[in-house]
Amino acid sequence: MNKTKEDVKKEKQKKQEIIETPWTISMRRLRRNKLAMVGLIFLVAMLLFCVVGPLFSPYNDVTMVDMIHTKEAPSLSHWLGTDINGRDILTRLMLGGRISLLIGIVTTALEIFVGTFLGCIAGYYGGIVDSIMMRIVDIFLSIPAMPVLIMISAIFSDRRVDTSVRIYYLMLILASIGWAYTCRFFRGQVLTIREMDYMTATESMGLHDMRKIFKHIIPNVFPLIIVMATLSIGDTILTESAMSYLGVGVLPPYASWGNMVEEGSNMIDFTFHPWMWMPAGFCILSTVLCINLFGDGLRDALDPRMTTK
Amino acid sequence: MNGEQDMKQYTIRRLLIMIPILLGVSIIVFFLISSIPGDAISARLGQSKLSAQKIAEIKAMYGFDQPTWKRYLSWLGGALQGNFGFSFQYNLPVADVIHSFIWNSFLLALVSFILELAIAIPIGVLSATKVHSAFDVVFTVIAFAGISLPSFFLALLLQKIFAVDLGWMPLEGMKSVGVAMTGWQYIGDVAKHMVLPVISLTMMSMGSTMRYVRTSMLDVIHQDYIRTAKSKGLPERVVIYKHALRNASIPIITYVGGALPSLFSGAMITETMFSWPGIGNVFLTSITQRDYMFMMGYIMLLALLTMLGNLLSDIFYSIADPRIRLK
Repeated sequence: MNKTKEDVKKEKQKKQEIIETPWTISMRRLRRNKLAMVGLIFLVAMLLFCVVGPLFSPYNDVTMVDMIHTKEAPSLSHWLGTDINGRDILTRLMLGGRISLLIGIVTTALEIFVGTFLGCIAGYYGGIVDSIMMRIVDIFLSIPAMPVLIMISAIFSDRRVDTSVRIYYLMLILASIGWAYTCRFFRGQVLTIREMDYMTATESMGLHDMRKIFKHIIPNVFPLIIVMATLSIGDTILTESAMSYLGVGVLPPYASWGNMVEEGSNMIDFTFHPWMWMPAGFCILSTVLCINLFGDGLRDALDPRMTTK
Repeated sequence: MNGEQDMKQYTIRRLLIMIPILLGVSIIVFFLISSIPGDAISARLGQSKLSAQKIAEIKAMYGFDQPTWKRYLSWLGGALQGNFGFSFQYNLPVADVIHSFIWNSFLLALVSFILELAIAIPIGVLSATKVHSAFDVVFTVIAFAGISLPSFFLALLLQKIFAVDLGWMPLEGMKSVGVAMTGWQYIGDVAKHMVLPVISLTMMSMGSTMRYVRTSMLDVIHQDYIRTAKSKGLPERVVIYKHALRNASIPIITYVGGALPSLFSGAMITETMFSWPGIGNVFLTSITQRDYMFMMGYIMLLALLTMLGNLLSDIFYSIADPRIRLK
């Protein structure tokens, strides 16, 4: 009896006001994907662990060495034990995670920025600009990534680049190999968008090229940019950790999950002190796994061709 | 209507396109390698008692005193005649070094490729037929875990569990040291040494194949002719395995064709972790040894294999699906 006619009318209006945009539809689809949600929650937890965690740790100094308590098994004061220099492994996991995640995110941002921009230019202008750019992309796509990355890093080792600066170089190197794939992908997208009616409309309105690209093309490929970026962060973390493991990525004293595994992989520590290398390895595995699960869910949710769910 | 002629022309054109790309790759990589300070001669003779003048003479003998572009041209000239330079690591021509290690890599890659297909195809097909079931979810997670595994960590885990703790498998190498073996005994020994690296490679490559098969199968299952087959009352099994799988196999065959050349490319990290004498393992040591010519040769080989893979997958695509005409 509480509901008056007025209220019912209002409710009806409210329902009509909620217009479903493609974005809200996609997000609803994403929320229904349990694996993707598990991945997302874990990723947020991992980010908090790495970014905020060290603030609560009494051992948050990278250069601190405690030669009395080296290679200690997990205990109450050191939850995951200590490493070869007596540093707390749990804290190093957080600090290493910061660097690994930062490298993943910055490298991807660079790759996507350069790749999308060049891809849009090539796809939009076509003709000779496109041909020249695509031949360059072909060359970059044929360069085997891992061997060349290791080789370039060896150059930096020989030039004795400072270990803190080296991290930034590493991002640049990783991005310099990775942009080509993004470029090729977005060129293809732009080629189809260019033929759409609304692009003809912008043509007849006499819009400036840059305005067409930034206001009308890029917003339309934006969902794909997000998907690609997510998956690329995972790939980059894998590559970085392998390089760090081989001693050509992030170098000590800076921690990275990759070089932490390396520090514990000599025959003695490998056999008798598994806490020195296992946690870091599982951090890489679980983080990349969750990024991939979330990214895959995102692709399913944003891809309009996948209407099966 | 002479498809074979078309195919031949298409292949030749694609092969011709590879030439400028390979040239581009070789220029970039050669100049990168040349910017590594130090060289093979200094790395080997730096500690010796030879006078600086003598070392300079030896460098001149091998052409290390020339500017980079001149050395590149002489490398290119040699490469066009099939001479890829001299590997300082092994004191052999690069082509010989590649030839003596590539088959070890191929052996590992082939066995794990067969295993990968044998596991991934059935699971991918089943996942697609029971989409969103518990089976599908479990194998989705397993597939993504495979994609997300860092190769070095997987190798360490397998070694720790099966070689160190359980002692079932040898830790590393290709054969037992210091034991003379012949015939079947030798083959058995090598097979035992292969188990862990093969498991390692299979686990890493299985995931993406599984997803790929699942997606291809799902694409087909949602098509109209499958609904027709179902609605005219055909048993589920016939629909899936006779009608759906046939069309889903087109992308799968394409994938297999594209992967064939990569069987020769070697697995750098896995081979190194298990001390397997493969081509990828040799490459990693060539970096510390400053063995430029081998580095150059190996990277060019990989670039060539990648491009051949792309070409083969296109050709396999047109063979598997006659509707596709290559142009």
